[in-house]
Parts: sequence; C-alpha cells; structure tokens
Amino acid sequence: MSVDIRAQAGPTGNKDAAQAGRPADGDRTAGEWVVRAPQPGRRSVDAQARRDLVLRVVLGLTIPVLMLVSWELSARLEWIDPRFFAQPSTVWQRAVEDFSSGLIWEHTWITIRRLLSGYLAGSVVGILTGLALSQSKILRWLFEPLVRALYVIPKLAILPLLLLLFGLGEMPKFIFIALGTFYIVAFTTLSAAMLIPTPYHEVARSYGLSWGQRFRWLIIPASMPQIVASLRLASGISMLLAIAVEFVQAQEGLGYYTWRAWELFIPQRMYVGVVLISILGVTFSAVIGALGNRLIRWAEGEYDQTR
Amino acid sequence: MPAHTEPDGSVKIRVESLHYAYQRRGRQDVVALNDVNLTIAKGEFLSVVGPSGCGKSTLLRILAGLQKPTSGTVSIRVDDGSRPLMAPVFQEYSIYPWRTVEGNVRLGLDAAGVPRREADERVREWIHRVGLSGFEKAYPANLSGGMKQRVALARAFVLEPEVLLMDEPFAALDAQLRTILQDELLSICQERDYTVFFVTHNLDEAVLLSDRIALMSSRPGTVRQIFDVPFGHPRTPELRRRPEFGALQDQIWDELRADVQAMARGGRA
Repeated sequence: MSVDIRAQAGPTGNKDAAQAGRPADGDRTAGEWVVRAPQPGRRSVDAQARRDLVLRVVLGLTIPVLMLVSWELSARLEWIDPRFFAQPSTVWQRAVEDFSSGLIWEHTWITIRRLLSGYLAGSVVGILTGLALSQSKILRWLFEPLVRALYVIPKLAILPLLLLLFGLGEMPKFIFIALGTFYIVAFTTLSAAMLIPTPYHEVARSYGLSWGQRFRWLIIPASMPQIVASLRLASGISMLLAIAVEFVQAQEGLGYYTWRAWELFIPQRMYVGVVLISILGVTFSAVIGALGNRLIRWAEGEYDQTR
Repeated sequence: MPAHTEPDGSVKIRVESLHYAYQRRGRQDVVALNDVNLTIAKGEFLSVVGPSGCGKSTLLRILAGLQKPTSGTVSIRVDDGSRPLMAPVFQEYSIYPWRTVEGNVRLGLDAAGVPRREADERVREWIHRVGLSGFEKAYPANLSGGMKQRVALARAFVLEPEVLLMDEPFAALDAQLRTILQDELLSICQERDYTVFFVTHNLDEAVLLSDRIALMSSRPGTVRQIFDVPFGHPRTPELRRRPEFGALQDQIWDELRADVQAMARGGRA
C-alpha cells in the first residue's frame, strides 16, 4: 500500500521539481506560455497499482531464485562441497520425507504452541502494565526504575536462571518468551499512553467521561497505533526467543529439530528447519500485522505521510 | 429577551475577583487574569473580546473547570438538573481521530448513557444542522479543518447544555461558512435558553451574536468595559446593515486599538 503511494507520488513529483528547477528562464521569450498540463501517458491509479504489484513481486523473487539456481548448479558441478551445502533439490526431498512421516508437523505444532502462549501472555501483561504505569505516578515511580534496570539484561542471559528456577519443563520456556514480549510491549504502551495530547484529555474531562470510559474511548485507542507497532516487533522477537530456547533445552520443536540435525550431521534437515522457522516467523508477523491494522484503520489517513 | 444590564435573581455565572497566574518553576509567574469580576445572566449571550494573550481563553478554561483559579471564585448556577451543565467548543477542535464523525458527536451522549435510539436521532439531526450529512461514517483524517470544527460544534450542541463555552469556534472557518454557522448559532440560541460564553477576535461576530460584550485589557487581563448590544431578538444577519451595528463596532475598536497597537509594536512583555 505505502509503496504504491510513494511510487506514484515519486515520478510525477520529481518531474515537476525538475521542470521548476531547470535553469530555463533565460530561454524564455516574452509572450511564451508556461503550461501545466497532465503528464502524457499517465496511467490510471488502478493500472499503476497493478503494475507496481507485479513489479514488486518479480523484483522480490529475482535474487532468491537466482541464488537457488546458482546454488543447485554449483553443487551439481561440485564447485562447492555438497556435503555441507546440500543442494536445494536434496533439501526438498528431505522436506517431503519429513513431512510425510509426520515428524515436521509435530515439531512445528509444539513451536507454535510455545510461541503463541508466551507471546499472548507477554502482550496482555505488557499492555496492562504499560497502561497502569501511565496512569499512576506512584506506580511509575515505584516500578519503573526496577523494570528499566532489568530491561538492559539480555534475555538470553537469564535463560540459565529460569531453567534453574523453573526446572526443565514448559514453564521456563513460557516465561522466557513472555518476558521478551512483555518488555517491548510494556514500554511502548507506557510511552504511548503518556504522550496523548492534553486537548484530548480536556475533552474527556469536559464531556463527562468516567474513568472506565476514558480508558476505552481515549487512552487505549489513542495508544493503539504504537501498541500495534510494538506487537509486530515483539512477534519477531518472540519467534527468535522460542527457537533459541529450543536450541538450548528442549526435546521437541523446530529449534530442536534443526539443532538435532546438526548434531546428527544431516545438513539437508538443517536447511529444512531453517526455512520452516523463517516461514513460520514471517507468517506470524504478517498475521499479527494484519490483525493489528484492523484495529487502527482510523489511523490510515492520520499517519499516511510517515508510513 | 431580558435586559442584562442589571443582573438580578437570574444570575447564571458569577465571576468574583478572579486571579490566575501561570506558575513555572524557576521563573516568574505570568499573571493572566487580574481581579476579573463579571456576572452573566441566565439565557444571556456574552462575548469576550480583547487583544491576544489577554487571558480570554484562560477565563473560559476556568469556567470549564479545566484550570483552578489562583484566587477568587467562579460560580455557576444549576437550573435544570436534567441537562448537562456545560459543554465547551475549543479553538483547536480536538475531536478524536479514532472515532467517526458520528462517534465524535455522540461522545457526550454515550458518556451520559443516553439510550441508543434517542442518541442516534439527536446525533443525526445535529450532523445535518452543521452540514455534515453524508459524512457520518468518515474519520476525521479525511475531513478538512472547517469540517472538523463543525464536528466539534455538533458535539457540544447535541448535548443541549445549559451553558455553551465557545473559544473562537469559527476562527478556522472560511468567511462564507462562518456566516452560515453564525446564523445557525443565532437560531439555536433562540430555540432554547442557552447561556453562552463566547470568546472571539471578531468584533462583527461579537456584535451580531451577543447581548453584551466584555472588553478585556491586555495582560494581566481584566474586564475593562462592558458594552450593551442594543438589539433585541430574534435577530437576523441583516442587522449588519443598521447604522448602530457599525457604530458599536467602531466604538469597541476605538477602545481596543491602543492595546492591540501596543502589542503589535512588541509590547508583549
């Protein structure tokens, strides 16, 4: 969407600027007309959008496809060692085998479950914490220093601690993923809710909004664009943490699947794992983004320029 | 319409020796209002004019309860418990971008828990009266500045409050639209007994709409003079052609000019 807009505004805008900026004043003679007319051959908005979409997909695929082809070729011609750089065709075979044996489904399902439970818990608690801290100076002064101090500790660094405290089951994994999500969402929500322009609050006061109405009709919707942005960001990070924890300590999941393939030296399976992880991650972020955009449809016009 | 020169038992708003100073740490206080005394009668339309920065808006915000006086009091009498007491229209219209036109207009009704059907009807009527029919479902991002301001007006009018507080509500509108909404405001005020506190820069507007006009001096603001507008009701915009109309406008401007000129010369300090 945003790309379309820029693509349209760009060329026409540039041409105008070029015309205006051209030091052609000297060439002009009295009685000549300077004409501003429609750009010749200008496409309709729809045609332009269709063309841009096609171009975008083609360009986006160009480099990956070229890489795959040259990879396959160079492995077949033995320019690279096929034992390490398993060529795409054998990776594909391995993927088909692991899918049909049901192995991949199990691992994928477990990773999805961990990801979603940790992400949802972290998001919900993060939003609630951010909103609560934004509304109370006392709560903020009480908790903010502590939360900020803990924020700078890399989440991976506390993983051993979580394993020590919560054993080897699902609990430490859940907390680990939730914590990573929580920090991003909580801080973003807090700052968004505190930056709501004063006139909006004054309207709420003078039109008699109750405490609950103020949250539902002012604070939450006003912070929503930033909350959605943080949820998007957190979706990628929680995926990262889920895989990290499965590398280190798990007996199932896509992270384990990939790590185990390395231990057993099955490079094809490692590639399958990496690709699946990235597909899952991209899909997750896309779903979160699409859901989020539904919540902030009003902001489309409001923030058009900055998107 | 009653004569308002002698406030009697029907006093609606009483401002008594009101002071307001903006306090900032490490800097000297800025005195915005200094000993303001004013009474506004029930059903009266009072305009406040004065040079920029004379504290007109501060006075309105104190009336609205958004700022507390430094000293002195403002009292507002409740005459009808079933109506909202007051609704403000601000200069920077501040309508909510996440609500549609309809949603913004019904904000106060929703807050008061007015039944859905009744609210729908009143909202529709007011959207129509401010000329926004067809834009009910539009978000503010897709509206022009003038349209946003009309949403803010409808949001206040739909509540039918006892007191309307208006801070240069028409300043952002183009001249034609301003005229139309001035007429609309005139007829609204004649339909029901609104008490209106109206801040404006525009003397023509003040004379056309008001029963009385309070002239404020430059900072620290105080009420310097009160002009009675010698026209009864109902009024129409044709009033502008009467010689008294221009005469009163000139008279106010004569009083105001020195202050404004001092300010233009950089006498802001």
